[in-house]
Amino acid sequence: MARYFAGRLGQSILLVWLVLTITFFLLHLAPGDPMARYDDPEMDPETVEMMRRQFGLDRSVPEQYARWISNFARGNFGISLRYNRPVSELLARAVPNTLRLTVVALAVYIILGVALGVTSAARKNSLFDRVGTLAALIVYSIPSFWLALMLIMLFSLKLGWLPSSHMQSIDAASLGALELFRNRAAHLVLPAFVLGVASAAGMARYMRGSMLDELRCDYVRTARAKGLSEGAVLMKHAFRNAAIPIMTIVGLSIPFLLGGSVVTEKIFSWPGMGSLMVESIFTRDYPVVLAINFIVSVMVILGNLLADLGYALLDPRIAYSGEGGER
Amino acid sequence: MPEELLKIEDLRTVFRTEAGTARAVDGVGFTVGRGETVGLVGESGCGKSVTALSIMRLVTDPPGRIEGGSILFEGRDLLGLSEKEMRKVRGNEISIIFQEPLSSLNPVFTCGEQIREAVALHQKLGRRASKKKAIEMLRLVRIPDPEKRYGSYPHQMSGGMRQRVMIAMALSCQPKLLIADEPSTALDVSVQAQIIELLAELSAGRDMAVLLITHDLAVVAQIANRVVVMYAGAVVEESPVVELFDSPAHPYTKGLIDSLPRLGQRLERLPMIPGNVPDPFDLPEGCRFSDRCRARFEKCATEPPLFDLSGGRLARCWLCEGGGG
Amino acid sequence: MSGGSFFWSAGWARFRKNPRAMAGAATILALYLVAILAPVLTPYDPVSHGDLPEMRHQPPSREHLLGTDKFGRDVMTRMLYGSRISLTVSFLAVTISVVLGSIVGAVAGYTGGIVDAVMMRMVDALMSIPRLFLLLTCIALFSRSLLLVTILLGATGWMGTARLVRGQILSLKSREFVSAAEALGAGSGRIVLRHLIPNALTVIIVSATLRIGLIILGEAALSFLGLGVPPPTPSWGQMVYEGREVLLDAWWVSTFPGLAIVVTVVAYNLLGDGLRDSFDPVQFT
Repeated sequence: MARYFAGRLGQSILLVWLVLTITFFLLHLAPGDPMARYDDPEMDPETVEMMRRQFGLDRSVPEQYARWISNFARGNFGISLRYNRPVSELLARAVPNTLRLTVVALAVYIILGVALGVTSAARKNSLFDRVGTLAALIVYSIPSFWLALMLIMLFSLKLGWLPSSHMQSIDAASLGALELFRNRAAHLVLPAFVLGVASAAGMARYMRGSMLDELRCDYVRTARAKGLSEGAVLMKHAFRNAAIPIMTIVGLSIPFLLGGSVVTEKIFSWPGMGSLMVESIFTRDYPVVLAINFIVSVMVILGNLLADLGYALLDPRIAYSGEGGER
Repeated sequence: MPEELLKIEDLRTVFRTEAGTARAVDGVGFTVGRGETVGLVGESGCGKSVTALSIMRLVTDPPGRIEGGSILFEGRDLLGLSEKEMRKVRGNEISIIFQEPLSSLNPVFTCGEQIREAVALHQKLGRRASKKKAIEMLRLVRIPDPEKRYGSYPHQMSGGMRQRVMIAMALSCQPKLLIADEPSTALDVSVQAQIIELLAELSAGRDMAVLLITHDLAVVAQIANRVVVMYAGAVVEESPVVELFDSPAHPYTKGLIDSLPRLGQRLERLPMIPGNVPDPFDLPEGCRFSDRCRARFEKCATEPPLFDLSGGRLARCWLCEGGGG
Repeated sequence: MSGGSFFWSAGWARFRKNPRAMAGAATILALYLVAILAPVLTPYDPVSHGDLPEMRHQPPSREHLLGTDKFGRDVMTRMLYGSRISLTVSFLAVTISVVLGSIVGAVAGYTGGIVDAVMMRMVDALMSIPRLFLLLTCIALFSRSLLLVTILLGATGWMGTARLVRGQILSLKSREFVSAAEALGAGSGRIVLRHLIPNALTVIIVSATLRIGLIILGEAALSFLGLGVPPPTPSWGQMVYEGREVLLDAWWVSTFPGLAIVVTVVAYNLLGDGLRDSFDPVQFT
């Protein structure tokens, strides 16, 4: 078990290194001076010069590469061209905000997806199942920005139930602890739902299929033969097995959630990495763009690693494979 | 004959698929007495497993469906019970064990937990008491070091041990009837006999009836009191075990017995019954065995009834008309 | 190949009996017709401004079925023309990604060994950068245009195909007819082209169809962020963006182009699901 995990950790480190290499080559894709391509009038020569120094473009390519890797590995992402402050400082503010949003969205995604999928499977071919399957397909096909606007139109502008942007109200500083919590929670509802719901549709489809596969297994017949109620057969026996592959799906969906956070944060003026990314692209703040790219990839790789670990913990056949049972 | 425990009459179970309707069990009837061991034999696909699942009402619907007949258990018709009442019967009054113990056990729960669950459900015991009972059951089926094995997962055990776990689970609530569906078929030859012996011993010790479903007549000869032979969804012969082997009445039974290897027999090729089992989607008119039968004659074009041959013997063959044999 | 025609006709028979798949196919056909016939279907111009300010944000009416936008342009007209962007960009991008992915997957799967290992680790690495971030980074680094957006959408989406094709190749490699071809002295390149790719075709087509939807959503998201097709060329994502400020006063500006995206993506997903169920009932489930 420990050995398996160590191996996966090694693979993950290899992946992080590859991501860094890819980003490095993206920057150096064209032959000659990469800075020549950024030679647009919006940028003053001083900035270009600063970038040149920052990326070490005055040195040989292998040397640049070595510096690039070691700087990133140490969390030294350089200086933001726009704010003239360390990129790590900007990230330190943006990352927790993005995490708050994505973690809540992840919860929405898993709970909604699993609940719908299991219910559909339990009532295969019922009206609920048919409507639900079609609804999942439609939700999966809705552009998140449009869904966000429609929900804002309804719940914020027409009904006035929920705030339409930012993480908290402007007067949040004057609120008590409980009020502040409520205020922030209200600000989370729409963005987290928008971010989580599309993936939830995919999860529901997958969960339904996974449950149906399990329900065909012999052990389900044994569970019924024991006299267990249909609920216990479903939720205890079939679900425990169906939930194992779900871990992988959750891991694989992290890039979608993070990618979705760009659009969601932009619409809801959420001060996270996604907003910072879009802003940095418009202002051509390359150090920030590359650093965010890196951080996001590390999150994805870490997420997959955790998902694999969860898988191993949930499935006794993996966890004990090292010990070997009686043959 | 002992007092009647289970009485099946005219049971009909079908499977509806795109290809048509398969009449898997087509008018089956037989009885099992208290404490009696009855062998239900036949080739694969003859409907014996579907009969077993029908008794438990575990036929998957759709595509399967019990279309008619009655299954009287201690006088109650199981087919008339509500799902809730039926759950009180399953695992409590009637238990079943299956052919493939690995896939029949849930891979993510310990063996002990899977036994404990049944005990807790039917005997309304708490966690500790039910665990104690489960360990007791593991000891009863002779699993060494039961306290430790309680926490083992199915994949950590051998095939024979897994089947012992299945038996422990099935017997944990003292059922009056145990249905054993090919309990030794999937196991190594060396442990097959052990499992059958264990079943014989446990059933004798607790006055439990056993319906043993198998394609293996040798197993039946070992432990059954009576034998029911099925062919193409119907019972073709019923007989006490000794008489069946001494003088089989139905040509199909004769064929089955002739294909058994025997002590002292020279190692030539065993005689097999020629031909194939009829297609359950398209059962033949008349006697279902007629196209494979060497003794076929004109009358076989109409389906024979079960003739009573006295001495508790029945056979579905025109040759037995008028009680002859 | 013998049995091939039976495979296709049996699949087609299943496909025809699937109402959802047929609805998807019909919708896509209709969308392509609309894109081609846009100038015939509407009397208005998609780009030039209407009479301002009286034509600004007119609600749906007999003259302007889906209302007008802030420049007094007919929303329906812009939607009709906008279908051209969505359909062209997604079709070209998916073609690029299928070609790239098939080449990488075929080479990796067929060569095996160290080449395979290195290529597949690269695929893993690229897949750990979320798609939109990879796209945005590329857009930031290069200059922006419709062609670039198309190429980038294709160039950032081939990894899934590569994995699929490699898996197919590995399973097909062991089958007899490849070794027969090898014994006849066919070169590796020819084996890949003649035997392996056609066999992997079903898988590729299904995954490509299912991915077109994602590409349309990606293009729309880029346009919405202001990083896609430059205005005034009508694109659905951008139209949604333009209506964002006037949700209460002119709800139609955002609502209808968004619906167009939903309908298109749903249609492609229905078609993809239908193709999968009809031609490959086991493979993907």
